[in-house]
Amino acid sequence: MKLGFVVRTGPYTSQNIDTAYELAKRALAKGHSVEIFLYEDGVLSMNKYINSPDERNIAGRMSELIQSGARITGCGLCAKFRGIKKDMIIENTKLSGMAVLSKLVETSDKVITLSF
Amino acid sequence: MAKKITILVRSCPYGMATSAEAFRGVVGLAGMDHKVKVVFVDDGIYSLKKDQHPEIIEMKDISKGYATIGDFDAENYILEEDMKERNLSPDDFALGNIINKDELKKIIDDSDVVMSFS
Repeated sequence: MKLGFVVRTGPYTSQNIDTAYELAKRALAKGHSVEIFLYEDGVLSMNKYINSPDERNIAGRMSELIQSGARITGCGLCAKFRGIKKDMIIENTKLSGMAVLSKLVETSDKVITLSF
Repeated sequence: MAKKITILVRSCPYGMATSAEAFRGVVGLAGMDHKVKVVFVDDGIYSLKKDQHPEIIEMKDISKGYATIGDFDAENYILEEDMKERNLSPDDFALGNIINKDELKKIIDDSDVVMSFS
């Protein structure tokens, strides 16, 4: 099964990205495929400069999911509005447009929106 | 393969980016040939209210955006119960079809994907 996640909130303010991480990690371990679209403040979770002393590193968690086979894309326009540039995002992720969200919806067996 | 998508808009316009970002999602998804229904519930119904003046706070009238989604075969709906709860009537809205909770349930049951913007 393919799980599609849409995460609309930023890291460390809401638990949503952590919930996506926990669900995605377990789904990948069971052999499912995972695609995550980071929308609005969600794009802040792909900032490779996240520095969280003594706390979980959410950008690191995103990298971990990628290494386990997940695909992660951020909304390019949302990134632009938040000053996130291509050279600031974690490796093997990309910034793209709504066509990626459309494709995620089209190809996922289940779509989970994590919102406010 | 195109899917049937229901977008729930649950927050009032302008206080948060929710309604505007839902609109961007609607255009992105409906523009790619998905069959999109947008249902305004809770304070989300204010997005379609007539006579908005967001220029006072340097924002754009979100109802004018939603008025264009028919070009992508997407449809706008307003939940009757939430309208009445806010002492509003169909005449207060610039656009949108009024539906009740039973009709909303059918729309959701008939959807492949439901995305909530709250």
